[in-house]
Amino acid sequence: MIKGDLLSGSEAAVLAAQLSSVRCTPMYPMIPQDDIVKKLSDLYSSQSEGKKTIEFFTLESPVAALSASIASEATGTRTFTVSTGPGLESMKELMYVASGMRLPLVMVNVSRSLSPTNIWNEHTDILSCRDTGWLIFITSNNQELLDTIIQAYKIAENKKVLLPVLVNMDAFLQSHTRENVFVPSERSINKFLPELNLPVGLNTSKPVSLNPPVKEEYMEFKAQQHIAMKNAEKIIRNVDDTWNKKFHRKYGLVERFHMEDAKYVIVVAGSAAEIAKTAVQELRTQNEKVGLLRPRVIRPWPKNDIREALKNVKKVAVVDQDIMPGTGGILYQEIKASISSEIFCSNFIAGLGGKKILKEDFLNIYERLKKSEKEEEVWL
Amino acid sequence: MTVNEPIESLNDLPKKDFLLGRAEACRGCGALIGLKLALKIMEKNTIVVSSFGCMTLLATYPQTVLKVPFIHVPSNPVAAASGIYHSLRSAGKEDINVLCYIGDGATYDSGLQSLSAAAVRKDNLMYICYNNQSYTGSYTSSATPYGAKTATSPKGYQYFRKSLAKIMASHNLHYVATASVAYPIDFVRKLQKALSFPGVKFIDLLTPCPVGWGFDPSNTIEVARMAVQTGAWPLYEIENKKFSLTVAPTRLEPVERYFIMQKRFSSLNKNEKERIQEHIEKEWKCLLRKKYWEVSEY
Repeated sequence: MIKGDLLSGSEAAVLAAQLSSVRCTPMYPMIPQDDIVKKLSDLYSSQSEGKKTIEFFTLESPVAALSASIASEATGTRTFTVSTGPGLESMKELMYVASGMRLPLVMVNVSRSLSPTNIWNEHTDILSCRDTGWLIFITSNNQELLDTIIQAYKIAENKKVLLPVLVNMDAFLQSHTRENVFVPSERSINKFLPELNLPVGLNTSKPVSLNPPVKEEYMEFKAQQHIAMKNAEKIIRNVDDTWNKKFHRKYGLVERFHMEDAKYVIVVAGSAAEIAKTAVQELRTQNEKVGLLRPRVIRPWPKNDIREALKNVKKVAVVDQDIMPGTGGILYQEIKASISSEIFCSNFIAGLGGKKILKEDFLNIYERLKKSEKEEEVWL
Repeated sequence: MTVNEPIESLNDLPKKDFLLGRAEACRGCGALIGLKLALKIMEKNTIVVSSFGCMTLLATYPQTVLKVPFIHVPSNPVAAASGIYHSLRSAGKEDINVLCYIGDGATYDSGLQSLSAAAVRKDNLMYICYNNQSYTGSYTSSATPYGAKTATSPKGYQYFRKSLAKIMASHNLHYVATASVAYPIDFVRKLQKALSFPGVKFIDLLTPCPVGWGFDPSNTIEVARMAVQTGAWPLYEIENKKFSLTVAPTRLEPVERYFIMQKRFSSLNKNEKERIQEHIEKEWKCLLRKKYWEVSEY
């Protein structure tokens, strides 16, 4: 077996940006994405004057970092930045702008809880971006993270898409945890991802005015954005296939684990899915008909994939590491809207504020799901 | 490339314009005059950045009045300008000028953080604040002068404004100045001088607003001139920490002559006007003796 490199999510993200020939990285360090900023800063300082390949600089706030990234991308430069929890929320105003301006910017988010003050993992921040018009990927391990960041540029820069992309990793569980990661060669990525050729941008030889007010034609632009997001689904699949042919790793829009004859399914996103898989494996040795469904792409929401996957299932446990106070889990709502109302679907709220989720928790979730006669909402 | 020839009179101003007519701004808008002059000097190789404010209307889909690239960024516009500067650097295109043409609202208030940070980073940015001493629609900003009526100060603004030129001067910038659209040669000379320096350069340009200030649109230049001649808006530059007045009327006009031209000062009573007159006279004496840091501006 070929051994890969031992990389944390932060290290993998920096490598992915380098491999993607990112040219400009406006950054604002905020725990737990600050490891990424530190490593890029080291990289920049180690490069000799006049031979810098990445223009790294820091700004005075997360919003400033996104503002700089938007303008940098609008100049036709492949740009990369990072975000986390409260920083991501403050960037919200400009996130709508980045998407409305149809800029193929890629931002790595390290999901972090919002309130009360807490630096640990939670998905409320990344899921709260589902209205912004950005593509959203929630990765579950560092290999997937590295691969997805590079894929994100290819998908975003496709002329039928031209939308910004958020690639998520879990705070500390991925960002500060080293895993085995196979790093593709520079040459193979250069072939996969050609130079950015933005159709419209800030160019003194072809002057245009970007992001002006729009009145009469507003709905037309929104419709274009809507169609672009719908186009993204097909492009994601194509890129996934191309990647598989080159690197023999396939991800899809959702991940299915032991789903072929599953009667009970656990739905969970992010690195907790890796823990859930160990529980599913154990249950399978006891002949339980259980499976795991991991939504990887949150936007564009893979409604058909989910509907297909859960078609013949008896009961579903949606595990949310997020909460809409008063309403319930975000994933639960999206899953329920995608499947037949006849499928029994319970909501489990877990891991808020970085509360540990263990294999035992998933075993308990399974027991509870099997026993319960009514759909319920359970807080772990 | 930037026009570097010395401009002595209006006839010396370059004939070519990069800001065309028919912007959806108000008649007599002072801010448009400022941008038109700036672009005559900075020419083709300029990228203009602006934020929410009156200049949002320079381009309204599908039309634009600018013959240079322009980006409108709602928040933290100077960070966006920095992003452009760094991305141009990464592409080896450092001969392109980045001009921030941003209103006092997004400069004195919401964008101050961004401007201050960029000044420390020494990114090569030309920053012109088009200052109509209010937010669009006429609301107070921290650039609003004492006594001015706006929608959020119906009885006259009860605070004295801050001087952003002073704040920016503390950032150890090479060049900081104030200007007025009624003194185009002074403004343009300052712009040329500023552009010869690296880092962030700051000019606070007084651009009277007929709608907000309450005067006939044909009087924009007269109002901008009277602001300088009464000492309400002194014109100066701070070049490498050295302060000098660039326009010094031999005798200041009484500030009343400035007030009566505009409806926004109609709520000032006699005492307040005297108080302001004293303040300005004291300020002027200090400025004549170059004691810039010992005085607060009106």
